[in-house]
Parts: sequence; structure tokens; C-alpha cells
Amino acid sequence: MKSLTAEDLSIYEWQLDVPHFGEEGQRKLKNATALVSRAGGLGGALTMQLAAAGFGKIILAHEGELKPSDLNRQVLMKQSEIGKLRVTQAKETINRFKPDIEVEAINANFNETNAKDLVAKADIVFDCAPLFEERFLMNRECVNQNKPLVDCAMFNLEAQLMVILPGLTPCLQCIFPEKPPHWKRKFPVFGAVAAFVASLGALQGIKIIAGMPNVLINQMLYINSDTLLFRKIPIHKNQNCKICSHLTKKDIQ
Amino acid sequence: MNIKFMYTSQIALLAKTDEETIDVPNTSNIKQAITVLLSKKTEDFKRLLFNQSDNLLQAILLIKNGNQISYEDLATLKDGDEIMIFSPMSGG
Repeated sequence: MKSLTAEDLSIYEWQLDVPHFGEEGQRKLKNATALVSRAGGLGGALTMQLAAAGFGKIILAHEGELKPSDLNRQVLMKQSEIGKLRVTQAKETINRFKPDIEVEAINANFNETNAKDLVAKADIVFDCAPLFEERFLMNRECVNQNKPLVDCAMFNLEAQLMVILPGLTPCLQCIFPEKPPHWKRKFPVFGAVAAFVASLGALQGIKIIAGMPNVLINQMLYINSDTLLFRKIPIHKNQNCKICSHLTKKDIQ
Repeated sequence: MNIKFMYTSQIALLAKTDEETIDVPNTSNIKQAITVLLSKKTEDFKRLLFNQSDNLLQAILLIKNGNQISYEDLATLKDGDEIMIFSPMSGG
């Protein structure tokens, strides 16, 4: 396990006194690998906060080149780099901020071919993907490998956040067994909405890895930033869930 | 009795509101209350909640007074109950 250096203590000084975190929590982050699916509006903002907090390694999986319409929310990108790979730009931005964080940039979306290997390399997974097929695949693979999954989502001025701890909490498909048939890939949203739910998601990940209390368990957080309604909705496992109902507490390590 | 319906994401966008109060018969359960709601809505709205066979989409989460509830729940609602019809969101 890597130890904290004098430079680490200096950089993270302002968070070391957060209750239940301390040097032990910082050490855990330094030795943790996060997988972030997509480096766009949600994923980019979330990745920046993981880097700020001091995750040791971040794997970013996102295929494709930057488009103009990405620039209202994809804060790791540069307008001068339209047409260039998003994931490469994301890596450059993060490493300009924090050179010591290992960023593995993969020019591919999370898919059936890479799912198993990507999740196997991670201690925690952050779902920031737009397609429900991708989200469900991430959910399934995290359940199969018993890895925590932080599920972030947004639409218009709203956001939702869930933490999935396989076997202990509902999985994504306990709550949403199928994708909404009318879902459209492009939807209205501000970058500021992506930023706040991404930050909340990053914080859940920090708490999980550092072993801090009050992780969002068995609740879904719903936020309406138009009316400033914040609501924690109790959610429960579906005993017939095709993804996780086979897990019992004794399966949890 | 008055039931407050709250909507999220696509449903709220189509309804052009986050919430509205609907008058339903005093003996209504959730299925009956939603039937009354749908009688005041367009076919497009209905299709966000139900498939062509008129079954509630599995993607829809119903929340009564802050707690998950099944569409098949037979309990009579009370005046002032709040039903959130939750359509999932995604990333991007």
C-alpha cells in the first residue's frame, strides 16, 4: 500500500481534518482505482472531483471526438480541440491539475467486450453514461464482481443519485427493470446540473473508499434544482430481480 | 379527494409542470387515481407511463408520500396524498 508523502499531506491538508476521514482515508484514496464510464458532462465533472480528492488511479472509458454541443457541460474539454478524442483531452486536463494521478484513458465506451476487465481493475465504479444499455451492463458487472457502483443521472434541471452495494442495496435494475422506451439520447440540461450531481456522486465514492459513515444506502436522492426540492426516497431490493436476487448476505465479502 | 401528482424528467417536460393536484373519488387506490389522471392527459403522456397493452412500464417508479409503492397496491388513498411518478434519468 502506498504511503502518503509530505507533498500529499500538504496538498490534502484542507480535507485531512474532515471528520471520519483523516490520513487513513487519504491513504485509502491514494491506493484506490476508480472507473468512470464516460468523461462527458457528468463524468468529466465527477472525475475532476476524484482527482481533487486524491484518488490514485482513474480509468476513463469514453469513445469519440469532441463536438461543439458538448461544450455546455464537458468541463474537461477545450473548445480548440473540437474533433479530437474526448478521453485524451480529459486525461490531459486531469494530469495538468494533478500530474501524480494515474489516468488510464480508453477510447471505447463500456461494452460487453471490455466490461469484465474494466470492472475487475477498479475498486469502485461511477456510472455517468447516457445509454441505459450501458448503465444496465455496468450494474450487472458490478453485481457480478461485488464492486460498489455510484449511479449518477440528470435531466433538465433534475438529478438522481444512487449507490449500489451488491447484495446490500437494491441494484439499478431492482428499481428500473427496463429502460424507458421513449428515452432520447439528447436531453435538455445545463452543465451546472451535471456539476452538482457529479460532485455528490464523487463524494459518495470518497466516503465509500475512505470508510466514512452516512453513505447513501437504500435511498435514491432526487434533486429538482428548479424548485430546490431535495428528497431521499427509500428504495428496496426486488426479491425477483434478474440481476441481483441470487445474492445473499453471505455472498458479500 | 385531492391527490397531488408529482412528475420527473420526461413526464414533467411533457406535462409542462412538476406537479398538479387532481380530484379523484374518495375510494380510489393508486391504479384508480392514475386512471383519473390519464383521463385528463394526452395519449403521448399516457405512453410515457404505459405500453401499448396498457401495462405500466417497468421503468416507471411510483412513490407515495415518499415511499415506493406498487401499481397493484389496493390501499385506498387519503386526501392530500402525494404520488410521484418517477421516470429514470441518465447521464451525458
